[in-house]
Amino acid sequence: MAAMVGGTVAMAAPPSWAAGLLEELVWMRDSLVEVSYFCALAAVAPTYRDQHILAMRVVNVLEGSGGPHFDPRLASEDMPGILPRLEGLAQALAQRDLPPEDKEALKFSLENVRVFLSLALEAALRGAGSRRLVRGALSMRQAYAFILAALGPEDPRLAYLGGIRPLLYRYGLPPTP
Amino acid sequence: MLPRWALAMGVAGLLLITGLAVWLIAARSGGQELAEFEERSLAYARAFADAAAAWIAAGNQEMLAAAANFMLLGSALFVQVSRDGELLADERLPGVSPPELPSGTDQETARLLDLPSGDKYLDIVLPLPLEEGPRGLVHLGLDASWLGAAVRGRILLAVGVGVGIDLLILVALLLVLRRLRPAKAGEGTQPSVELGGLRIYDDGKLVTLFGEPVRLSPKQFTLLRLLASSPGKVFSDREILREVWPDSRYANSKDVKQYVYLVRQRLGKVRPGAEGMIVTVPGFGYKLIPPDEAGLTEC
Repeated sequence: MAAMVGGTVAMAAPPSWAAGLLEELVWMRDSLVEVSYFCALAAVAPTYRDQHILAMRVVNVLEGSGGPHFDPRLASEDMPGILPRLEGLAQALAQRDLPPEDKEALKFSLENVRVFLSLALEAALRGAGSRRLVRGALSMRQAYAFILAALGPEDPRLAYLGGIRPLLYRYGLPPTP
Repeated sequence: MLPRWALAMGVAGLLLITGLAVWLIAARSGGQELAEFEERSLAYARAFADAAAAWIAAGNQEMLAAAANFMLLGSALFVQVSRDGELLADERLPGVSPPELPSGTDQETARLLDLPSGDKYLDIVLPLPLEEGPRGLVHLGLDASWLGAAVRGRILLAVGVGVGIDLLILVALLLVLRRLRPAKAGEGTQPSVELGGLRIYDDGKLVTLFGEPVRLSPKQFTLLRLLASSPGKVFSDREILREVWPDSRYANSKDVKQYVYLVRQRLGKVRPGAEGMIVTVPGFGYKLIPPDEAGLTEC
């Protein structure tokens, strides 16, 4: 499985068809790194209020301005949302004529990322709605774990379920910002 | 029985002990809450410092400022990040002026300080975990005014619970005293009838058997009182009906039988075998015999 996503593929120059894809993946990687920071901060937040605000920030970044739980008080501008952009990317890729091996690897990897992010969103919503700091912290730790799973491991040999970073590696970009 | 002053002292002591216990619990939980807040705040500051170091290393000042600014939406009053004496981020709520940043320290400090308003805040200073280059600091001020309110709320709750427990104990004491009071009332006064261990007090409408109160209804009392007025004399149903149910046209021998049964039961509850003090004389009526004749002696 790891080989399918990028494990045995050495870093090389990205194919010409992948330029737009890589731009999206880099944006997602940076957004997920930012979200993981807010998740971590929410997990150790000193008060219930801090935890709620930080958890809602995670929800905002994941869902985007069009999301049902989006809180405009915690966003200074419209947010595209990682999940909507991911779904848009997956749909666009499905319609494109790509090499079969790439198409399969992208489909497999992005579907896993989508599931992990949906789970992260659920956990963040639980964290934001929790009336108890300790229980909220537990939910935010779960959200953090799902975000990291969506990012995927830096070492492509461990990318059994894909992830954003293994995809970047596959197409010749550094997996860390 | 306890004298009144001892009872009052006991109740006062109970209230005092409960109050002290409640106060101790509340004060201890307040200290625990502060310790937990400090611990979480330090973890919070460390997580920010880690991220800040990464943003500084990547030259991402914009994210540093945005993250610091975002913290102000929560309990942060100010967030400062400095490196080599230069402030890289300085976000603060309007009207808040943080204390001067120490020039250089390698140690984490967390102090509970006063705001000009009198409220408290936690002042945290910790070094930036930068791998290279000049050293840096993170300086955070976290609002702790809720801590005082939380402790006050907890004390109020604890006092409320304590007072509630005291009231319950007092009510229980009063109920116990109320149950004991009739026996006490009989002790100081002269019984109207004394028949061995059986004493009947007309004034207090009280009956005791070997010092133990016998709980009787008014009709049951009147019946026993009648029988006890002439121990050994056989009272017919008609005589009993006339004395116990003087105004009832419907009372009959069945009622007499029923009430004799009930009085026997009540006597037997106080002392097993006391049922035999009321003797049925077939065809004539009922008579009362002294406890010793019924085979009862004082324990």
